[in-house]
Amino acid sequence: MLTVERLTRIFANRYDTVAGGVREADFALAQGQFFTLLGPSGCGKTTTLRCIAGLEKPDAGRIVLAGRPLFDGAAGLLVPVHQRGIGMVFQSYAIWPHMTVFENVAFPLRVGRRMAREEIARQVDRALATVGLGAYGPRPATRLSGGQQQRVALARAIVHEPKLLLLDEPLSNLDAALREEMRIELRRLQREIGITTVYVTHDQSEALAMSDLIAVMDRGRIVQLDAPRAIYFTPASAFVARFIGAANLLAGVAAAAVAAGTLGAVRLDGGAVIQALFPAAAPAGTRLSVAVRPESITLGTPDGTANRLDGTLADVSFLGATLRCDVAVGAEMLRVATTADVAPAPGAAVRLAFAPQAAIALRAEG
Amino acid sequence: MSLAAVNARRVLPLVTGLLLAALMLPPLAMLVHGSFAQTNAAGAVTGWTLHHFRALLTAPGVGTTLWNSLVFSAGSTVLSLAVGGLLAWLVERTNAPLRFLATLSTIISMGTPYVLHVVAWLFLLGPVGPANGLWQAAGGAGKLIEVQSMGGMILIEGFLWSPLVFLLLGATFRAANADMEEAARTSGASVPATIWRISLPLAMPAILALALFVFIRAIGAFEVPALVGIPSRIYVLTTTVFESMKTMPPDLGQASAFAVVMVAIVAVLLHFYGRLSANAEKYHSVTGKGFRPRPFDLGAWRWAAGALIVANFIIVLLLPMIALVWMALQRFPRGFSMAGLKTLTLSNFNAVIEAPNYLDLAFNSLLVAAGAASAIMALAAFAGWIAARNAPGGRVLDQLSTLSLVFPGIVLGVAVMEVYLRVPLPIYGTLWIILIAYIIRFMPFGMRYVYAGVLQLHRELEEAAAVAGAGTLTILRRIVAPLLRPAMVAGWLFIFLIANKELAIAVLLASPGAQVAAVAVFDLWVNGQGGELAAFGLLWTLLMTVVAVLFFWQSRRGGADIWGN
Repeated sequence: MLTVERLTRIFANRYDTVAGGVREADFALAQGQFFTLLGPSGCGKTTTLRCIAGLEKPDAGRIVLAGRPLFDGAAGLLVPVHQRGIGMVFQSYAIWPHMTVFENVAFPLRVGRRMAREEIARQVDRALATVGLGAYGPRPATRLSGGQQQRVALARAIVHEPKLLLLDEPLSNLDAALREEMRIELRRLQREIGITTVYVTHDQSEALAMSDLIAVMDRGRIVQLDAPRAIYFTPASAFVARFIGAANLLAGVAAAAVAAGTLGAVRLDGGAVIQALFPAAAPAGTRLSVAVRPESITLGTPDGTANRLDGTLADVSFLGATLRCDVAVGAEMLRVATTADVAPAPGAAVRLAFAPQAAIALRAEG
Repeated sequence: MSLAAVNARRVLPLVTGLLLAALMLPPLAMLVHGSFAQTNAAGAVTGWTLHHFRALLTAPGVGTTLWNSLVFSAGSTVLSLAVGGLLAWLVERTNAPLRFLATLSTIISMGTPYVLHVVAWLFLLGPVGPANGLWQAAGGAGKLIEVQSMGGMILIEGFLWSPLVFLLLGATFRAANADMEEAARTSGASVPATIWRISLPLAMPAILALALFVFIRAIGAFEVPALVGIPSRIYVLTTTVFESMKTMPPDLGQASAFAVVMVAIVAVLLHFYGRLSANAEKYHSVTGKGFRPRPFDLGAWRWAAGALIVANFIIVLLLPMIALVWMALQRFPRGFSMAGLKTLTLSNFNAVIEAPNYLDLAFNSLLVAAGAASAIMALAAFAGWIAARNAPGGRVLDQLSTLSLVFPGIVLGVAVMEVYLRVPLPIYGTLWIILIAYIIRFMPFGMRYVYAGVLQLHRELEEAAAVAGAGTLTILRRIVAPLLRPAMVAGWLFIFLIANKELAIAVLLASPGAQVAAVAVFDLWVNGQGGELAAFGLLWTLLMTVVAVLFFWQSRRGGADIWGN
């Protein structure tokens, strides 16, 4: 449906050598897919989105939407933004304050095409009904809450039945409760309409909950392109592991050569040897960061063949559903999430255990 | 449709740029040309010469003229900053009573032509005026104030500028973050210590920038030097240019040479002004929404502060207005006295209302000012949008449209005259030439209004329209224009107001058949018709005050706080 090939747009930066933008981004989306560009601020995710929208002119690469090339650097082809037939929701919503809700939503139908008045009214009403704002048409756009503005922006983006929907951090301006609600709502709507969607966010839980496919970006490059589960359980790098959730990263070296996709031994810097899953092959002595999720670690006396580490409980925080325990293991501090019913006291000696499959051995960064 | 839309992004800056260049560049070029041109008796150029500059250097009194300009500008800058600054602080940052009086005097003085103020002050401080009258009645010998002096010029000019300082510094003080002052107070600083060590240093960059701005405007000031200075033979640069244009035949060469010198001085000062005000931006401490400054509690001192505000109101507004009313009601000029009460008459008002030329005059003025304001806002709408959005050509457009800031009014008058004496367009001696001069002169103000207005519009509002399928022209028409309307209306009213006050440009370009109000007031004064002048001036001020009220109301709504800059 949407194909992006070697998309590059680099911003010159006159203050330091690190330039922003996106470098050689590659991805292809199937019809109806919900695709998320995820990364920290400045990673190039918004630039990628704006290149697809036509708000930014790429330096090189190719963008094809439903068989129609929108940009081709080699052929010198650039379809201007207003002829791309795309729907987009902006971070600020960009609801025009001088128009009513109806006029805002009708705008894409009024510009650039001739459409009968009744047809416009019919389509606008349908779009407003879809987002649950059926009765809001005559209301001035300035008299809307944040969540309502969000819905108007969405109605405006889908009213002309575009082939592609672009969402630029649309939930970041909402409060926590509303964000949760809109996340589910947005996903439901997207499935219902079946529209291919590109979503930009820096919130990993949003990305995991909503997406069919996630591209994690770092400093202008896509560092992992995978389904949410794969991103979460088998991060491709220490960066992804850290960014996608609060993973513990243990420094060590490969004790022996390990083949890709198998278990192997890692000698941690503290001296302990653990078994970990190697997503990629590593020769003996490779510097590694072993990612272990806080919820994969159990406190106390486990059974079986699990990896074990001895440490001292440094701090316990009560988080409601879970307890967060900070455990000092040698020079490293590990975070452990346990259920709230056990309440060990700080200062106690504890034993940590986790399964080898829950420890992902990643090539160390830098 | 697609082709037009794509091209609009390129064609728009080009067309706007060509129009601006055609307006802005010729005056500067002609000025420089005129200062080097050797002309014969008929005015035709016969060659090139440095003669005008040499004459300027060797002319007797040229050093004095420069020195006078400096003293006059520096003195009035300091005075207006002290008066306007103190007032602005009291009004914006304290709980002094009667603060509305300061705003009221500012609004009304916006609508009053400067020349009218000057006339009123000359009356008040003059030989027969109440200041000297009271002095003599109290047994003083001679005169308390000799208004026809450098001191008198500075005094009048300083009070003339204080409302503008009040407005601009008011904006600065309003924008000061009270958190910083409260942080100082909770750290144990007294109110004076907080003001001295926190408030003042924070406002200092803005104050310095404004001081330079007022200084630049005072260098180009014409009203006070002409009405007060010329009769007492105290010449500054502007009046020297004016005098060499008024000799028969006009000495265009020398006027141009003086003008080039002034433009150079102003250009250098403007450069530093740009740097200063960029520096002031950095200190802008307001962040976020829902911000409300919290005023200082002056305690018992608030009544002293209130007295200051009242005194300023009396000096800046009430006394000049009373003086004008008195002058308007007397058939012959005379000082305040009980005897004068018996000779009160409405004959001056009758003369003004019955004589058809005053009505024509008023109509001409309004027409030219409205025409200039409309043309400027139309052109500035495109130029300002392109510049604010960093579109290709934006920087050039910005520089072109603000180029005329280097022209003091009188200099622009000379330059425009030179251009349209040579261009084969029959507009010399008509209102059209005044209109063109106004457009050139006030374009920077229109540009600032649009520019600041566009910066307040979130870029995504336009991008959303583009994604929705709108081309550049559609976006401008359907999104930018409606949202920019408050800033456009405020800009239009502002230009309309200052164009109607403008004397310096029009004084050289107006002719008996094409006259505007400020020039007419000037001529009436020169001819000694003080009574009719005052009557006409009061009626005119009344009309302009209505416009000024509209302007303030609109500025509050539009949130545009870019007065005079």
